[in-house]
This record gives sequence, C-alpha cells and structure tokens, in this order.
Amino acid sequence: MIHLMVIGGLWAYVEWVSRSATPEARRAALIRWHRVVFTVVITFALTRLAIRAAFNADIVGDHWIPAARSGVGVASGLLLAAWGNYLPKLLSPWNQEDEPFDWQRVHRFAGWLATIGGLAVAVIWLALPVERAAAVSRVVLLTVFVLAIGRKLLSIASTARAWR
Amino acid sequence: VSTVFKALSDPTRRRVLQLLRERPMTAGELADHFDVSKPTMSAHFAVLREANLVDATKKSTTITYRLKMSVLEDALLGFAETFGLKVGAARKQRLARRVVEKEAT
Repeated sequence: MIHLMVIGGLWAYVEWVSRSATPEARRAALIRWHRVVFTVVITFALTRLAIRAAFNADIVGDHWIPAARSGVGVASGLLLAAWGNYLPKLLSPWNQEDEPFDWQRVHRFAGWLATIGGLAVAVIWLALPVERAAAVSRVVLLTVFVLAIGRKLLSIASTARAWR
Repeated sequence: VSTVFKALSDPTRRRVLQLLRERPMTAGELADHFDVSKPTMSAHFAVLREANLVDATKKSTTITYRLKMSVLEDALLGFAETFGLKVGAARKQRLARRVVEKEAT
C-alpha cells in the first residue's frame, strides 16, 4: 500500500512539474511516465493481491508467510533499483534557462541513490529474517527518500537565489 | 546494448559524456574541447544519439546535447574510464597500421 502511495505521489509530481513545459515535451514526458509507472504499479499490486488471496483461500499454508514477505521485499527493492536506474534518462521538460532547479544533477543523484538503496533493500530481505529485514529496509528507504528530496530542495533554493 | 558498448569504446565519445555530466552543452562548446574536425565530431554525436546516451535539441542553428544515461550506463562509463574498455581496440590498431602502410607505399 505504501509503495502504491509513493509511486502515485511521484506520478502526480511529474504531472505537476510538466504543466509549464511546451506541449510536445509535456506529452512525451507524460506518455513515458504513464507507460512505465502504470505497468510497474499494476503488476506489483496484482502480484501482491494474488499472494494474499492464495493465503486467504488456504491454497498456500501459513508457514509460507515469511517466505512470501521476503519475496515481496526483494521484489520491491529491485523495483526501486530499476526505477532509480531509469531516473537519469528522464529529460527536463523545461528549457535550460528557466529550469527551477538543476534537473540533470538532481536526477543523476537521486538515480544513483535509488539504485543503490533498492539493491541494498533486496539484499537485506534476502539476508535477514523477516522482522529484522522489515525494520532495516524501512531505515534504508527513509534515508534514500530524505536525501533525494533534500538534494532537490537544496537545488531549488540555490536556483531561486541565482534568479534574484 | 551493443550500440552502448560501441559508443563507450571510443575515448573521444567517453570524454563527451564526461563533459555532459557537468551540464548540457551545445555542439560548438563540446567541439571546442577536442582537436578533431567538425564532421568527425558530428559522427561521434550520431553514435551517442543512436545508443540513446544523449539527447539533441535543435534551436534555430545551435544543437544542445543533454545527457541521457541510466545509472547502469553511467557505471559502465566509469568502469571504462578506470580500466579502459578494450572493445575492438586490437582491431582498430590493426586497421590503423594498415592505413599507415598504405600511405607509405
């Protein structure tokens, strides 16, 4: 559920940032994002629903629950890594002169961070028992998002200062 | 993927990507960093564009190049920088030697 909210929020964010761009750039960016985000989110959500349904219907025994949780954890880590890997390929919808922040630098930073963080989460879920993995991976994810958003806010602040 | 390896196998193209890591640049700005002819430079840009590592935006007569590398491709570039990507290097040397020999005769 949290994953869905995060990706939904990211999507809304891209909609918002691309509102001032030229029509073609905006359209291209949105089509790219719709394709990637919807495919990923729907696949992930359906898989999780299927797993839950299998447990509820007693098709799979309850002793498989830790394994299933680990599997979902590894998958979400790999998803985050894949998303991070692709992030620097997204081009800024603005002209270089009126970018509100240094798009390229922020996206390169966030891309590396999310890729490494995602791989770390996957490894953590593979290596640690479920309860520990849940706690540790939550810390990793929080660090990734705080650093990425912090880097972006810093860039926005410095760009705004340069404009004045 | 093979187009990416081909693009990363040349030191001039690697240098272009390194320069673009800093910020987007125009074709002229990039060419100023190199001691090669304009047609050669455009050929390098074409290879990079084909590998989808850069994006070119044309505004009247100036073309601005922007980096379009995934983290994996970026890491590959870093790897090539430090260890030297020897893809096709032997073949290139052989070709160069043949050209020299031809010119001598």
